[in-house]
Amino acid sequence: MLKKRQAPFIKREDSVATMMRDMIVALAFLMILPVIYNGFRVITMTLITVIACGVGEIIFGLICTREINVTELSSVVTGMIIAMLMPVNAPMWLPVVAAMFSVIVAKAPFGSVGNSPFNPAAAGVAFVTICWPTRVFGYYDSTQQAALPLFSDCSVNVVSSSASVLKSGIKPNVVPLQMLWEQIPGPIGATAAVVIAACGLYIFLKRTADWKITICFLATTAIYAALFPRILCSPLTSIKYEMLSGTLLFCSVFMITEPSTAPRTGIGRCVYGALAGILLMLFRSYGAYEQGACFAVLLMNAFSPCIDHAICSLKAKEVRRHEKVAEPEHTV
Amino acid sequence: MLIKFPRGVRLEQKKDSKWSEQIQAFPTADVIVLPLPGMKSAGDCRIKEGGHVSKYSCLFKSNTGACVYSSVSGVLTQIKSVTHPLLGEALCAVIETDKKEKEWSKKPFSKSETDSVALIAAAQAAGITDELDGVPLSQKLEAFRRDQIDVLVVNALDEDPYTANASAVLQQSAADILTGLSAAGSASGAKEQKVAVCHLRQIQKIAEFKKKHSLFIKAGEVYPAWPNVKNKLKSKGKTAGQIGVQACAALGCALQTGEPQTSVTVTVAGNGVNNPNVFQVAIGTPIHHLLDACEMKESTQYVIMGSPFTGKAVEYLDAPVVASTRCILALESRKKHKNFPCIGCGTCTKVCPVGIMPWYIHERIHCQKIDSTQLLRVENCIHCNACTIACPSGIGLAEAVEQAAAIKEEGSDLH
Repeated sequence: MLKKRQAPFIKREDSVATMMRDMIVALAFLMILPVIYNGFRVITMTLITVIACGVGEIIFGLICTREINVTELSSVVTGMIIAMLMPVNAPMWLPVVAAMFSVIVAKAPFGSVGNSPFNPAAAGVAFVTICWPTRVFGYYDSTQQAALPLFSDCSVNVVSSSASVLKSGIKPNVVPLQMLWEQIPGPIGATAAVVIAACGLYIFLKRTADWKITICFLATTAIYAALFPRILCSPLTSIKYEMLSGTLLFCSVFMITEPSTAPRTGIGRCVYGALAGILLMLFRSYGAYEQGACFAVLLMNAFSPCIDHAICSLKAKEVRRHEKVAEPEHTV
Repeated sequence: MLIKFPRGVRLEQKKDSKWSEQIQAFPTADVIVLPLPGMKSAGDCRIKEGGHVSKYSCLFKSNTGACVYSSVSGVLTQIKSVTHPLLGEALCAVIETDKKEKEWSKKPFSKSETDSVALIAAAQAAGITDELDGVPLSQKLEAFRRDQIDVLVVNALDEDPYTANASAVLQQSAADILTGLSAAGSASGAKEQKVAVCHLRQIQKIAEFKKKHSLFIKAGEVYPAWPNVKNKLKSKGKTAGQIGVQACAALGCALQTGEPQTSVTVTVAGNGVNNPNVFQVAIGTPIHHLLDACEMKESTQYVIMGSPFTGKAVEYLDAPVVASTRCILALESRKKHKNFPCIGCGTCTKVCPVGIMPWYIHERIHCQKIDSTQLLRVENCIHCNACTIACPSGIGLAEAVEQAAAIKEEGSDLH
């Protein structure tokens, strides 16, 4: 006698783990250019952050006597995103604190992957931004040509990023073309716009993330930048600077697209992306910090169930209306 | 005009193009267990226990006119009740074959009778059953005529990763398919007849189909492919109905030679067999003969009959082949996927061919208070299981939709 089982008997190979693997591949690809520019400190920082996320999961599991599962690799993704948003000269404890906060406060208490209402990486980075803004926004001046140590703290001069210069209403001294792949002051993984775009293309083609959110997010930020430029320049120049500075592009590909914290309906995702874009630009214009991407993501995460609810209620109303229209036909 | 992308799951194909090149004629088994669907008692069988049966002799004719013919000649030793994975509880005639292949006289169809009633009667007399759903072909053609469909589509879609029957039948019985297609078209009253294929390369080497490419509709390699074909035709303002390619070929053959349907084409595949193959096999052959011919491994844990998406698991290998057995799949073990909560990727919505949001239904079903008005479009479910197949979290979404459809139906009954 053979085993009995219910259909379907085959499954698509894609699982949560393969989706996470795609994200890890994209983030690893994103690390190549920073390693070439800044040396192996980038890798050690990423590894330490990833380990911190894993340790955070284990600590929480032990405290709450819960099953510990890191096989779905979401901790690795969270760790890598946090590391990519840190300046390369940041002390190692900074991403570790962000990682611990993201796992112990924003992720693990809600259950395993898929249950967290907020993007854990965004929560971790937002936490360290509020606590140590000068450390988060103090970027290594690449003109120094200093060799960065692998683990210990760096004693290098720090400079402001182009996002900070834009915030103070001055035109950055880099041309937009330089911001595409050259070494400019900024977070590790957020300076090479072309590489981020390539990684985005990879995860969209792999269907790991939804391109609709990114497109709506970028379109809204571009429109806002064109309508309300922060510096005296043409709308097109304003769009170029706003899109290529700070963590906007990185956030549009890796953070805002996280499926578990974004709405699940197609229209909902477009609305979510568009609103996040407006919110980010408002934070940039009126907020206290030069980069508000993490805060915009977290705020929109809170709204995403409401967006889904509204869309589904509208759909239900439409279906009921159709049913009412169809009913008399049946009775005739 | 809005471009509509085909909805469905794309799966890694595990079939070999060589399978469809030559259908292997499967040797007649010593004992055939021929299901007699619709028969209530052993007394209804036209040949009594111990009597001799010839190949093509009619064993049973139901009230609806559907006939069951013997696929072999031999002695009917017993009529027993068998629990079949696809048919459920059914009476079966056990025939010990004498290998003499003595045939019952066949009556070719009179070519002067080309009206729909005569063609439907011919399909009924030939005992043709559609392999897609196990429904007699004559009943389907009558329903199409009643519904006044515009296009009759012959489903030659090998959309699942293992099945290669349709391509094999297209190659082997092209002339019969063309005859069957025009006859089924006339019988159903459809103005147009088409053949749906996954790729046009399925028919490129077939001489009979050269210069007839307009006859084919390309559906792509997505599962389920039929709703995409239907929607494509609907967007042109045409209603469509489908019949299986084997049923179409059987109709063509019956009209030309008078031969009733007594055999089917079956793909035997999966990681539980060493030599996967496509066979032309007599209806009623126990499946262990086919699995032995394909060298089933001892480590095989599951045997599935029918499509791997919607088929049924076989518990005992003496279950016979029936007209709707398109595929016999032997699987060693299932790769264990860890189940996760819904991660909100929306894949289930993208693959659903009828526009249900399975994740939402799953969420609603697990609410404390279920509001049936929020169970959107669940009544449209075609039970293709595409949502469960595609879900990366391994959630049984199809089950939730089925449950929701039952709740909604109960709710509407109460109202």
